[in-house]
Amino acid sequence: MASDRLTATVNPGRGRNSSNVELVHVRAVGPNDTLHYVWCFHSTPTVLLALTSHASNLSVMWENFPRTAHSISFNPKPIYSFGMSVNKLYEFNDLNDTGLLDMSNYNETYIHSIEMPDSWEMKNIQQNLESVLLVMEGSWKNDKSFVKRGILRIELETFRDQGHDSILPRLMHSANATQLELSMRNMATNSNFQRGRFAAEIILAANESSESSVFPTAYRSLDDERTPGVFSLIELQTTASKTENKGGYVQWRPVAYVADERDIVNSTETAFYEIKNISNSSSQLNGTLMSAYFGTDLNINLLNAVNVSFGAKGDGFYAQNNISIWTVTIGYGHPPNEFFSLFVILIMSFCLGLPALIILISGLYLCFRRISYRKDDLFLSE
Amino acid sequence: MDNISRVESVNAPTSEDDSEQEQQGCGGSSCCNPKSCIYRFCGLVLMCLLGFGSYFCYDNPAALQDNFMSDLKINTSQFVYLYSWYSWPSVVFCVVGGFLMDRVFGIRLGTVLFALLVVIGVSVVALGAILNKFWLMVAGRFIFGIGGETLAVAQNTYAVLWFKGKELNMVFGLQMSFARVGSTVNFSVMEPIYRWVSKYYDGYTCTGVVLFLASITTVVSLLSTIILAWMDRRAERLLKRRDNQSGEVVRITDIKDFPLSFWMIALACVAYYVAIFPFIALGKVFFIRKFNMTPDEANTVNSIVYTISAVSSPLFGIVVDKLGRNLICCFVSILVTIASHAILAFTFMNPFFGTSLMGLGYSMLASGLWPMVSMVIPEHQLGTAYGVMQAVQNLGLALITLLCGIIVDNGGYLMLEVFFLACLCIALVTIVVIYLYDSNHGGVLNMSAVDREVYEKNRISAEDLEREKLVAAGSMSDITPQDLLQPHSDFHIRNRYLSRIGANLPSHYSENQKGLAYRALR
Repeated sequence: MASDRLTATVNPGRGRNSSNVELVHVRAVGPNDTLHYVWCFHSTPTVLLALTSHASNLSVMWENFPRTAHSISFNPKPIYSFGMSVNKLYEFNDLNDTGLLDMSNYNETYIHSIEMPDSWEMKNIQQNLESVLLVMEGSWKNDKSFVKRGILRIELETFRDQGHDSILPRLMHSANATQLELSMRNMATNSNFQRGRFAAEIILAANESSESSVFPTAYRSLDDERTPGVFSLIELQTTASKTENKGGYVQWRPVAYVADERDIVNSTETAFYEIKNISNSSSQLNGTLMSAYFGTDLNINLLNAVNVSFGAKGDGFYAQNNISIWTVTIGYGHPPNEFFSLFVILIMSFCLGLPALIILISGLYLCFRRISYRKDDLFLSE
Repeated sequence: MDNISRVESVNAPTSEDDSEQEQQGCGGSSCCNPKSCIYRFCGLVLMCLLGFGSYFCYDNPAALQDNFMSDLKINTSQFVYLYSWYSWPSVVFCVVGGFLMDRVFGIRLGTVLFALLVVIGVSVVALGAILNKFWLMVAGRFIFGIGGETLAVAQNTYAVLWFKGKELNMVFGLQMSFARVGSTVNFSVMEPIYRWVSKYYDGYTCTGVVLFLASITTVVSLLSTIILAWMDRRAERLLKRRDNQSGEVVRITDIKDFPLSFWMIALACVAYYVAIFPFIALGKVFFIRKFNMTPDEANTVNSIVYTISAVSSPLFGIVVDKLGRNLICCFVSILVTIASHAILAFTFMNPFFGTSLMGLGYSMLASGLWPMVSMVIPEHQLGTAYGVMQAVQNLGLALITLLCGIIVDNGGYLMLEVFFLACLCIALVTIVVIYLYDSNHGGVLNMSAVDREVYEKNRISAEDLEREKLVAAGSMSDITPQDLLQPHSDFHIRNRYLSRIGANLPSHYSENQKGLAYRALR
């Protein structure tokens, strides 16, 4: 269902002119309720979705944000909230060129964990009737100890209506979703890994009971019309989304692009790994939007992490192109399903129908000819 | 009017006595007797070898792509020039080469010249690598392209000349599988050869030396064309096979008078082949992503089309030789290919199944389709006809391959498969139309082998009868000295007949002029 309008506010309650952009609040007013998106770039990039009544408003206590629990909140309380953050990056040395991250082999020579950038800069913010777009670039300015150079660029976009993004991987989005595009550009680290690849740790949190969890599904489809060369779709759904369609989900195509000019040639695969529980969450997530919003509820709510690695066997590792772009949607409700487009269905029915028709007609023609020959014979014999 | 088939005359000499007398000199042993199977078998081996060199060298750059790019410091788009400069010019030169072969050189000299052109082209490529001059390599590929593609035309023509009415379909199948063998051998041996040579040379010199070694295969092909030319000459002499007995002159404008069925065969050929070659070129990623294969597995699945066709096309050729009914065979093979593409597009079934099926369909079509040209085009124009066919195919493939890249990037592999299915539908419809057209014009294309033999015999005896009638009916009053000196050809007699009944002949049909102007060229 399309929302009536989108309104974006930068640093709500403090104003846009303040030192740096840390928070963008987008309000999507629907017919029955309001969906809020909070995009935060304080320490880890985080997307928070909150479903509230029309009357509910966001309030941020800036002096305590984000150190104190509940320094950011909605009043009245939301019906449902769901958050996703990119918690950290990993660099691993894929010596056997498998394209897969092996977390059981956790040692200095194989894997390095990279904290999120310490400095974020807003590159673009756009708001129109149909969508809101925010582009941020993070770099490691203060801490050069591990990352020598490189930019982590994140584009967040939310849409008034459902549809497909115009650029690859052309993910399908509903009106209740934010699309996040993560690109790692010109990354150079002190690891000296010859065959380095990157992976990201994603954290999902929701105000569902800790008994509920996140269910991964990998769909294979025949149709790669939207995302050429990609035939699968990965979904992580919370229990509430899976059972009642009233929960959060994330959805992505297992493809990463290795150039700004996106096409099949410039693409590689992604892999995701088992869903993990997070131990000692309050200390790990301290100082992020997650802890500022959920507070101690994190210990009793749904809280999971999943790793996604970028690259596949034989693609020449990260160093070949020095860029990886991965796109994911974070939404509320039931993940949208792809269908064959009308055009494909038309051509398919033509292509399979025509030969069938030809065979039928030629069969009939032959039968008819046989019969008419026989008649001729009879006629002659008279 | 059709000529008497030259092939028929290889095995059906005008006078049995003459040929037997002449053969005595050789002891009449079976391997020297041009009539024997063994003689033809030797010819077949040479015909296959003739194409081996060019097929081997064609894919040299692909087999050594990484080494090429690093040794010569070229990027991918430059690398592609090595192929585009081979294929684009051949679109024109196939026709020109086939025509020159019919009109100027004759098949024997023509084939030797084309093979020589291949040797020169390949050597220039190797020289370019040794001198590290990329433009010279591209120029070499250009020469190679002209030689290689016209050589393929000559190969087809030789096959028809020696095997029409016998094992022609099988021979076409065998030639195709030998071509595949050439390219497969290339992919498996070039890498080891490069490694061995790199012990003694390095950088672009190494690539150059490797290419020179590869060019030896083309010299072998050149030798086989020379031996084949000698064998063909001997067969012609011993069997009194008259070369161009009709005296008809081939013109480039003959192309427009080719029968409709020929053009439809060419259309079916293009529409079919674009669903095979571009698919194989783009298939690897499709197999990796859709069927979760490793790159190695994907390569195996991809090459299975060629592997299967290399084995099965001679076998299918034998079947078509025994059964005839080429159109039914093409129809079935297109259906099989449609099924294979549909399986690949609309199911997750193991792609080994789909590609194996495609290999079967492809080999069946190749052994059924190409020989049909020789049934609708008179012998003396065959070089031109096969040249046109090859050119149309190359042009179609070059354009469609570009289009396929665009389709995949914008619409994905499902759309590509749908596009291939549409092409195959066009091929299928074309075959049906050819069937309808052909059954109204004698139905030779879809005859069974037995009927076809009878048909050919009747056709020849009818022509002989016609000629005798004409000769007998004509008075001797207008016979010129030249008529007595020259053999009476169909063309000659027809023209004399036409001029006698007062029909206007086109200027180039003037008999005397023809005798003077064109005989020398043959």
